[in-house]
Amino acid sequence: MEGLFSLFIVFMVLGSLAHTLSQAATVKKNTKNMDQAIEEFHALFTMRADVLAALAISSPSEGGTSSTLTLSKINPMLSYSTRIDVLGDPLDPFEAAEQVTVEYRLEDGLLKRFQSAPSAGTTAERLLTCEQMEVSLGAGVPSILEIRLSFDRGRVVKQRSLKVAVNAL
Amino acid sequence: MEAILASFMLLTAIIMSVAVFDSSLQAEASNERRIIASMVAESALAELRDAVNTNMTAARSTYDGRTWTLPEYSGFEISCRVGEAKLAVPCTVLETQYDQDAVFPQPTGRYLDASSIKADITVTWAEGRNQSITITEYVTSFAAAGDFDLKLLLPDGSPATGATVVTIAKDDIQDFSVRAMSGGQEVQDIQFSWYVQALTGFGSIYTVSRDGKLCQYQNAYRNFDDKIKYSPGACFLVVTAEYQGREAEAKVKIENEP
Repeated sequence: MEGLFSLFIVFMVLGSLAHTLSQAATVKKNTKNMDQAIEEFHALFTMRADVLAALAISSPSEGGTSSTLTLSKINPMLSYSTRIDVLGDPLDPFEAAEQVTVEYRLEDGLLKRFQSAPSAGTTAERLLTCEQMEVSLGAGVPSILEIRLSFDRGRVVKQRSLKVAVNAL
Repeated sequence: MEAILASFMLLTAIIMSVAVFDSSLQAEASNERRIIASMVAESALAELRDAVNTNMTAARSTYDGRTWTLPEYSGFEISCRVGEAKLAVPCTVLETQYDQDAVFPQPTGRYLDASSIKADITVTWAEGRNQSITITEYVTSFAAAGDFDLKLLLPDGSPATGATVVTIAKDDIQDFSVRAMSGGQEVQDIQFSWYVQALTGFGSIYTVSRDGKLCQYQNAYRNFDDKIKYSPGACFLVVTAEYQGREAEAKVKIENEP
């Protein structure tokens, strides 16, 4: 009787251990999914921040769709006092020399952000692996810019999209 | 007996650890969905911001109580509630000292209550029981103004034209008001300034509401000795305002009777 009871307890313990190990594996998988979701979120919100700061959006064109997002904005490295420096610099704080061009495009399966400044050349940042990128812009102003990204996650392709209200083109 | 007790304690400990893992698992799955839900909420807010940029009145009626989903996120239901936003200018501590129900010319609190809306976007998704997140934002129009114009309204409510002359008897007080227009819509919650431009005579600004929207003009003025004086003849009552860097002015000619 004691032997049966201890066997029952041992199997119960082993069963619980097996369940715990499988749960641990699932947690690990979910943590990976979570990390990917955070990366996707970060990439989309980085693009959103640039769109909101944009003075002009050159790609996609008004009412069109494109695989790249190109915009110009004020060079964030320059302070306002530098931009209106009266000693040798025009008072206009939005002149072309004080702007940077930001471009998002896919290269070698990676979503990359390129920033070009007239005085500092081009810098590239790798954001994350991405299968497809599509950016569409509504006609007229104000309008909505929609960013759609596709990610291949093994057996499934995940689609992520984010809309941004824009006032400048 | 001790072995049985120890076994049950061991079993309890293992069941507890399993429960902790299970909760962790559920939380992980829930967090991923929460991140997606926040993206859905942000996209819904972008739609609302765009609608407000186009026409705030229409956006308010379209989005209040609306429920919809985005094609890419069909499992996430969005619902929107639009309410009044009442923002004290410059701050609540200063503005609450004024009676909100006071009628001009009594001073009343200054609030931005017509130029923005308070939007609550709730995204709901099914996960065991329903989960939801709510984002609240004050939404205002950032549409660039292509034009800006002021309409000075006479005491009878009709707009003043270039040919309008308002005759005011000595000591009499008349009420004027102003409306700002841009893109065919009234611009709300901006500050107006009034002054008198003398021609052959002049009166004075008697009272101006704190937002400058209402003005009382009197055919009289006070000199530095605080004595009431009169300067019969013509003058302009002028109102000015600035909106998105554009300045506008409206005026009406006033004939001050002797």
